[in-house]
Amino acid sequence: MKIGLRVKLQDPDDSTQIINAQFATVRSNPQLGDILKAIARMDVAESVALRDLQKVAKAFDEDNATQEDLEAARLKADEATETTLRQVHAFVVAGFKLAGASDERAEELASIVDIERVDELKARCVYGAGCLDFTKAAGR
Amino acid sequence: MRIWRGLLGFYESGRPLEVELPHYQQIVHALLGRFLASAKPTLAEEWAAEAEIRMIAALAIQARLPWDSPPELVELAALDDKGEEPAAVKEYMNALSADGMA
Repeated sequence: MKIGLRVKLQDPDDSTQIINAQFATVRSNPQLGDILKAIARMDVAESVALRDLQKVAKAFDEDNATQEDLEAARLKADEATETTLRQVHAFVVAGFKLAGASDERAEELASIVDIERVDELKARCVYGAGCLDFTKAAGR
Repeated sequence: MRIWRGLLGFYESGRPLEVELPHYQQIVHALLGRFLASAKPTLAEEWAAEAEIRMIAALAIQARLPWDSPPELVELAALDDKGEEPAAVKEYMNALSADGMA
């Protein structure tokens, strides 16, 4: 039996309809913690790529780097950010799947979760109990 | 006792460097909000986390579950507002009526 935290979502096609779902916790599903650690590593890698980009940009201003060097550094930084975003999406999908949703259903639920509120999902999933109600405004 | 909430252990291999975010990264980080927050938890946040652990442990003991039961199990055993039956029973009834089966 798979049990997770209750999550209430608003149907994007019909705002009067509530979608009830379950999201797994890190405590019962350490795999979710591993995904969060991978996101943290990617976040650190992104900051390193951005620092490198700044160095290359400074060198470019001083005529010590080419336009290609600058573009390559920018591409690397953007790729790191996009990987982080993909991993965040994977975390949300995995949370629904580990709580019993099918692959297809988990993708559908993840697409409904507002990206601006994934931090609440993380906070609840890492530790907290209770119901996560996305039909209410943030912070309530 | 391990603190599960917050960011302890999230950046085990070091925290992100302080860098100025270009436009695209600024947008992404603003959207993700606290998801990527890398500041260490404050003393007040740690206290809140510890208090939450104690609260869940107390509710587990009250429900005759092991004190270190996962929060989702403790929540499952929670009684309704009247303290008569598990709140999950009411939810089940609501789910049946929404499905047109009751």
